[in-house]
Amino acid sequence: MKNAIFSKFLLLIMFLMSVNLTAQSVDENTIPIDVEKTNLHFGFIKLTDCASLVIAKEKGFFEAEGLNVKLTAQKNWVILLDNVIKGQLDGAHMLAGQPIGATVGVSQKANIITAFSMDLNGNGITMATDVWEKMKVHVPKDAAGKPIHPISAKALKPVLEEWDGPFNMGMVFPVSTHNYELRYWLAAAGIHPGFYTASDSKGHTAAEVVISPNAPPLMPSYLNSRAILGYCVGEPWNQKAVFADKDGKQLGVPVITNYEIWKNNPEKVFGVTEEWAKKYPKTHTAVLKAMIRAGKWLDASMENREEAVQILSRSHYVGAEAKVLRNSMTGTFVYERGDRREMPDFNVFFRYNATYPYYSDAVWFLTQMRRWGQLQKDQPDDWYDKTAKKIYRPDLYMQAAELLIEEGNITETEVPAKGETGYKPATKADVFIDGKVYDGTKPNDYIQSFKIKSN
Amino acid sequence: MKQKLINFFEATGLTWFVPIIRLVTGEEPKEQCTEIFKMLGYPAIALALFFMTWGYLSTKIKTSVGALPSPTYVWSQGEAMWATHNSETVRKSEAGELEKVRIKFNTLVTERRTLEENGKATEPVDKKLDKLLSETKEKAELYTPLVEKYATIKEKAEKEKAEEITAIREKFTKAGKFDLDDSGKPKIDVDGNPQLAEEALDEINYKQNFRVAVYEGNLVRVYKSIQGSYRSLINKVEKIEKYTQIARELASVSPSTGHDKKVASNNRKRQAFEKQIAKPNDYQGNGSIVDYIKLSIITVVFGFFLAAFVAIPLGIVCGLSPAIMTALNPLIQTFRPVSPLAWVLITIQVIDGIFVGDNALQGDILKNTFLHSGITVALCSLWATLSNTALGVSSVDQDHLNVAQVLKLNWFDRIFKIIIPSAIPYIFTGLRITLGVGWMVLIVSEMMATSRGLGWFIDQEYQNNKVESLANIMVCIFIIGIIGAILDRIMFTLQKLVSFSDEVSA
Repeated sequence: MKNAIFSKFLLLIMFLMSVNLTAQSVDENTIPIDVEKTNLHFGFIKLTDCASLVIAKEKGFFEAEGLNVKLTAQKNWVILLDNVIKGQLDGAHMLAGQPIGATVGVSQKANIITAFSMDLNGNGITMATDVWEKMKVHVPKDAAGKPIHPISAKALKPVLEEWDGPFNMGMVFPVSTHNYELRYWLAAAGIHPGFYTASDSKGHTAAEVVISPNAPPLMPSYLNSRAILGYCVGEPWNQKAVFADKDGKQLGVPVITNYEIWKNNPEKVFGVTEEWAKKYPKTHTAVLKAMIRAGKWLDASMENREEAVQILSRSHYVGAEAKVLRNSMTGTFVYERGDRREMPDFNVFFRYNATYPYYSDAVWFLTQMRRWGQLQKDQPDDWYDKTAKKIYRPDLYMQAAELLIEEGNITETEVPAKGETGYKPATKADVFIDGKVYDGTKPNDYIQSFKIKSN
Repeated sequence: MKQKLINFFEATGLTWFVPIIRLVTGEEPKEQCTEIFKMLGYPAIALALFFMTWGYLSTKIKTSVGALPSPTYVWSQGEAMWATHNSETVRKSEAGELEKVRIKFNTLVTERRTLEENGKATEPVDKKLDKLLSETKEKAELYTPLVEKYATIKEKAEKEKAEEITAIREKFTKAGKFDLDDSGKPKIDVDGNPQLAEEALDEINYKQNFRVAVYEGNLVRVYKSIQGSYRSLINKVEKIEKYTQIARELASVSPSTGHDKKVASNNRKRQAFEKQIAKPNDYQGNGSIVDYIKLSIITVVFGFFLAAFVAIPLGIVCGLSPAIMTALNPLIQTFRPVSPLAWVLITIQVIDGIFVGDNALQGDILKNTFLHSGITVALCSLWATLSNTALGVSSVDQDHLNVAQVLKLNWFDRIFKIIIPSAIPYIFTGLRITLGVGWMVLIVSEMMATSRGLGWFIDQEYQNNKVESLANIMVCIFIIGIIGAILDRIMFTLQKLVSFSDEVSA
C-alpha cells in the first residue's frame, strides 16, 4: 500500500517535471512536416529587418519544424540575389522590389517568388548635419521650437537652389524601397530625382538630386567623407548617424521616416527561386511556419523586442551596438540629439497582417518602376495583376498559416480571412505624403496622377 | 647537439637564437651578451617606440565610429576573439553529442517500426526507448546549473563594469566637465541631457568597450541553446511515444464510427515526428578566428600549389625554347600587373558558371567560394615562379649541357637530371615570391569572393561599423602579418636548403 502511494507520488513528480520541461519549449504544439531538406542556408544583409529570420533561428522556431538553418550575412544585395539564383543559398532576406525586379528583368533576370513579407516600415532619410541646418530654416516649427514632422522635401528645395556643385544622395539598390521612397519624397516636393532611360541605367537623366546605390552599413562612412550628402536606408544606419560625431556635432540628421512617406509600407520579403519552391514545397511551408511565428514573437511585447536587440547586436548578425539598434526596435526614434519621439510603428513585423504578401504591394513597386523609367513600356492593368500574382504567393502563405491555426500556434484573426483578394482597399488621403489615392487594381490611373514621371 | 641547433637556426634565418645558445653553453659570455643586446634590445626599443606612437595617436585620432583603438584595447579584443573560439569549440562538441543521441533514438524507433510491421513484440525496444528518454531528460537538466553558474559570473563582471562607469560619470559630472558649444552652453547628447566632456566620454566608452566575461557570456548562450535543442528532441520523441500509445489503444478497442479516420490521423502525426528525428543535422556554427585562419591558410596553400603546378612546367618550356618565350612574353607582361580585384570577378563568374545549381560545390572546404579565392591567388602569384623558372632554365651552365651531349643523354634525362636540378635555386626563389604575393592577394580575394577566411571576417567586421570591429580588424592585421612572416620563413629555409651558395637574402 505504502509502496503504491509512493510510486504514485513519484509518478506525479515525474509528470510535473515533464510539464516543466516542455513548458519552456516553443515546439509544444508543433506538428512538423516531412520536409525534403533539413540543412538550409539562408542569406541576409546587416539590417534590423532581418529579425524574423534571426529570431526564427535563435528562438528555436526553425528547430521545432525540424529545420537546421544556417544564416550568413551577405556583402551586398547583388551578391545576395546572385547566390540565391545560383543555388548557393536556399533563400534570403530580400528587398521587396528584388523578386519583382528580377522577374520583370529590371535587375538580374530570374524567377524569384515570395510568400512572406518580413516587415513594414523601418527606413529613414538622413541628411548631413550642415545640409539639415540650412533646411531647418524653412521647416515650420511648433510652440516649443521643435520642427513639425513630417518634414517635406520643400525645405530642401531652397537649399538645392543655392547649392554649389552636384547634390549626391545614396540609396540601397536600384529596385529597393529606399530608391522609390527617396524619389517619392523628393518628387512630392517638385524636386526632380532623375529618370532611368534605355541608355541611362543609372537613373540620372534630368536629375536635380543625383541618387546612386551604396551598401547600407557603409552609408555613415560615405556621409562622413562627403561622397554623399544624404541617404535613404534601413535601420540601424540612420540612428548610427545620430550617434556618430563629426566636428563636434552629430554626423547626420534623420529628417523623415518612411512611415511618414507611406504609412505601413512593405519593406523586406523572404525570397526563394521558383524552382526551389517547386522542388522543396514542404520545406518551404515549414520555413514559412517558423517565420510567421517569429514575426508574431517579435511583435508580442517590448520585452521580446529588447531580447531581439540583444540577439541582433551580435557581430555575426547585424553587429551594431545595442544602444543604436534599441532606438528603432523599441518604439522610439531620435531625429536630432535631444529630439527623441515616440514611433510605435517604426518597425512592424506582424501586426496589420505585415507578414502577408499582398498583391497590391507588388503592384505598387511595378508602378514605381514604370514611373521612374525602369520599365519603359506602358502596360494594361491586367499585366500588373498577372505579374504580381506570379511573384507574390499568398496561397503558399495561407497553407502555412492554416497549419499553424490547426496547431493552435496562431489564431484565425491574426492572418487575413480565407476570402482575401490580396488587394488592399484604395488608400485614404493621409497614407501617402503627397495625399494621392492608390488603388492596386488601377495601377495606370495611379501612374497618370503623378506630375513627375517618365514618359 | 649545440652545433646542430646553431645550424638549424642559421638555416631558418632565426639567427638571434644563436648567441643565446652560445651563452647557455658558456661560450664567451661577455661577447654573447652584447650580441644578444644588439639582436633583441634594438628590436625591443623599436617595438616600444611603435606602441608608444600608436598609443598616442589613438588618443588623438577620431574615426566616424569613435576613437582609434589603443594597443591595450586591441589586445583585449584579441582575448575576446579567443574566448569566442573556445565557446564555439564547446558548442561544436555539444552539438556532436546531441546528434549521437538523435541517432540512437532514430535507430530504436526504426527498430520498433520494423518489429511492429512484422507483427512481433516490441517490449524490449520500448524499454530501451524509455530508458534513453529518461537519460536524455536528465542530461538536458544537467545544463541548468551550468547556465546558472556562468550567468552569475557574467552578471557579476557586468555589474562591476557598470559600477565603474557610473563612478566615472559621477566624477566628471561633479567636476562640471561638460562639452560646451561656442556660446558656452553645454551641448546636448542623444537623450537630451548635457553631454560630458570628450575626455570623460572617451574614458566611459573605453570601459564600455572592454568586453567583460566574453567566454562566460558565450557559454551561457551555448548551453542554453543546446539545452533547448535537447528539449526539442525530447519533445519530438515524447510525441512519438504519445501517438504510439494512442495507436495501441485504438487497436485494442472495437472499431466504431470514425475509427479509421482517427487511426489514420494518429498514424500520420506519429510518422511526421518519426521522420523528423530521422533527418541528419549538420553542425552549423558561426565560426571563430581559428576557423578563418585555417581556411585562409588552406586557400593560400591550394593557390600556391596550383600556381606552381602551372608556372613551373610552363617556365621550363619557356626557358628551353626562346621561340615559345617570345611568343608568350606579351601575354605574361600583360597579365602580370593585373590586380586581384579584377581577376576575382572573372573567376567568380567562370567558376559559378561551371559549378551551378545542384552541381555547386558543397564540401566543408571545397566550396565555390573557396575556388574563387584560391584560383585568384594562383592567377596573381604564378608570374614570379614562371619568370624565375624560365630564367633558371635558360641560364643552365653550357658545360653541363656539353656533358649531357657527351653522355648522349636522352631528352627526358637531360631535363630531369641536368636542367631542373641546376634551375632549382631559381625556381625556389620564384616560389618564395609567389607565396608572399599569394598571401597578400588572398585577403582581398576573400573579401570579394566571400570565402569565409580572414578577408571575409575583416569585411564583415568593417560592415558592423563600430569601434569594437575596428579593433577586431587590427587584431586580424597582426595575425595576417605574423602568418605571412612565418610562411616566408618556411620558404626561406627551403630556398636555403636547395641553393648552392649562401647568397640568400633574408
